[in-house]
Amino acid sequence: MSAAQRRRVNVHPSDEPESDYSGILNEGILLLLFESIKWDLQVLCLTASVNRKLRAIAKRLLWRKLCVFRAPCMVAALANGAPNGRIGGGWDALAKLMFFCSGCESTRHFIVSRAIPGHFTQASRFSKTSGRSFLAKKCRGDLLFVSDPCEHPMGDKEDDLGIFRGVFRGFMRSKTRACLLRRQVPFDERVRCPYCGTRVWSMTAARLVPKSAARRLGSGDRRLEYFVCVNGHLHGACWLVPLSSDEEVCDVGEEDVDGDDDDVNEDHAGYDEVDGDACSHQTVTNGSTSSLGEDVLGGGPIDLLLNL
Amino acid sequence: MGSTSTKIKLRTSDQKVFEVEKAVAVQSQTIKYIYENGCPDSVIHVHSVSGDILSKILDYCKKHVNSAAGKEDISPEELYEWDANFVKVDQNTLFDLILAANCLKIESLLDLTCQTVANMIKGKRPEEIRTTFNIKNDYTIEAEEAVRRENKWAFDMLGGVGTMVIEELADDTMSKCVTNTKSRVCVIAANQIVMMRSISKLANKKSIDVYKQPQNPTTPRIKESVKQRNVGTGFIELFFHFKCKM
Repeated sequence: MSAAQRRRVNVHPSDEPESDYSGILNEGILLLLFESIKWDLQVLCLTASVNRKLRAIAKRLLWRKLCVFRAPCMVAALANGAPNGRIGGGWDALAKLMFFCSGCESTRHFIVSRAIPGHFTQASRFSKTSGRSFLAKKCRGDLLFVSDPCEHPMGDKEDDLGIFRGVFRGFMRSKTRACLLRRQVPFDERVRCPYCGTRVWSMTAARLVPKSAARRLGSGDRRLEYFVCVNGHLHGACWLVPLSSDEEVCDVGEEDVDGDDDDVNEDHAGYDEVDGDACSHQTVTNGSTSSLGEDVLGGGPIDLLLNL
Repeated sequence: MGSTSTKIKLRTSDQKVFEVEKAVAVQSQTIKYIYENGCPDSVIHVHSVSGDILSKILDYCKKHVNSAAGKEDISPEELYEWDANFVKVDQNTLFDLILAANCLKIESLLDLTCQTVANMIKGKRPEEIRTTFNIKNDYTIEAEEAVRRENKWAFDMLGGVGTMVIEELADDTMSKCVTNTKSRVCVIAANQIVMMRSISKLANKKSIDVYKQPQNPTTPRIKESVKQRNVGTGFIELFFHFKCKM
């Protein structure tokens, strides 16, 4: 900004003509701002809603930086070592996938008694090891991160519902996609990707759901469904068997030593090296340092919603 | 060296020269580095900072150095107040301070100024943010609605609870919240949950007067009245008026 474009007197906003030169439209300032507030998600969502220019800057730059900050390990794995590049479906879709449980509605192969609305999730754990369980045997070469299921109690008479989501690396070049195209699997008529809005394939209809998926989730015998969209986003739901079952959910040899899962003030997601394989899982946490941050009070399930 | 009266000279982009105590100047990590690694007697050029901005920044550094060194009798609360007043400037100055604090590497000032801008955004609606920053709304109505839907996910909370926080419950407090949920609203004051109400129960009444039993004897008894009105698709504004009886 040149000196000519700046004024030094206190001016009431309504006295000034509308300006394209507000500092908030300056990329350098936006980067400093968001770095300082540790990439607060709500502030970025609001910023991206203000005008076209800010939305464009957010899509090109800010959402990417947020994803890298919140999940450095997973983003590095997904972007194939080129984190400055693009990602299928956009970085804003990936950020939403990291922090939003998509809820669940009845679909052709999976019926629920009532629809669950989507909701913001404070912290989620994504795992490559988990993802392997969701790949059909012939597609095991693909790299897929899947989250732990978000548990939704459905009442005394029903099992809990587990809602999960995930993302493929380089879906366009994946064996899963090649298989779907070879089998000429049609898109699902009604369902759309909750993260990028595109068409999806039902993996149940495509017969690409391995037995290991239900075991991994702690679900009963094949009571699950998941969808994959053209950008490689995955979302699905399952019925969770009550935990008195003998089957354990975690694989032998995979230790979750990240003790920060429940610390909502953690402002940086950590990662661990397990079995010599860097980043087999990544916990993404939304810790805000803004003054109106998300605090959970009294240990109860209460979240702050600020005037929108 | 180590004398507290060591002075450092700084020259700004508009050729103004400032002579300041070393302890103040080295609050800037940039100046500190140049001073310790260059010739300590010559003038340090701060190319990208103007005289006005540097003057303000030096005020900040002096206040904080004096406070930390005990030279000024100022409590943490008073320093906090001073900081809050320090950033009550026009926006252009505020943005210049952000850039200068970054350039000079003064972390506490950078955080203070960035937090100030963040507070102009967080908790506000897009139209309020546009007004604050004088930004033209270049969306059509349909496009704006689409963008709103695109970005609302970070605000959709589990259980559909809308929450309003009141920092302090004075004898007579009024507070307003806009919630995008249709199920419950929870009011928290002084870190205690004061009440939780089902919005559907509020829906049929223009205002209600309810006494809440305090959870412990030290909590004031609160009488509240609530008015609500629709403010657009999916949003309800609730206007609370609390009266406390100790």
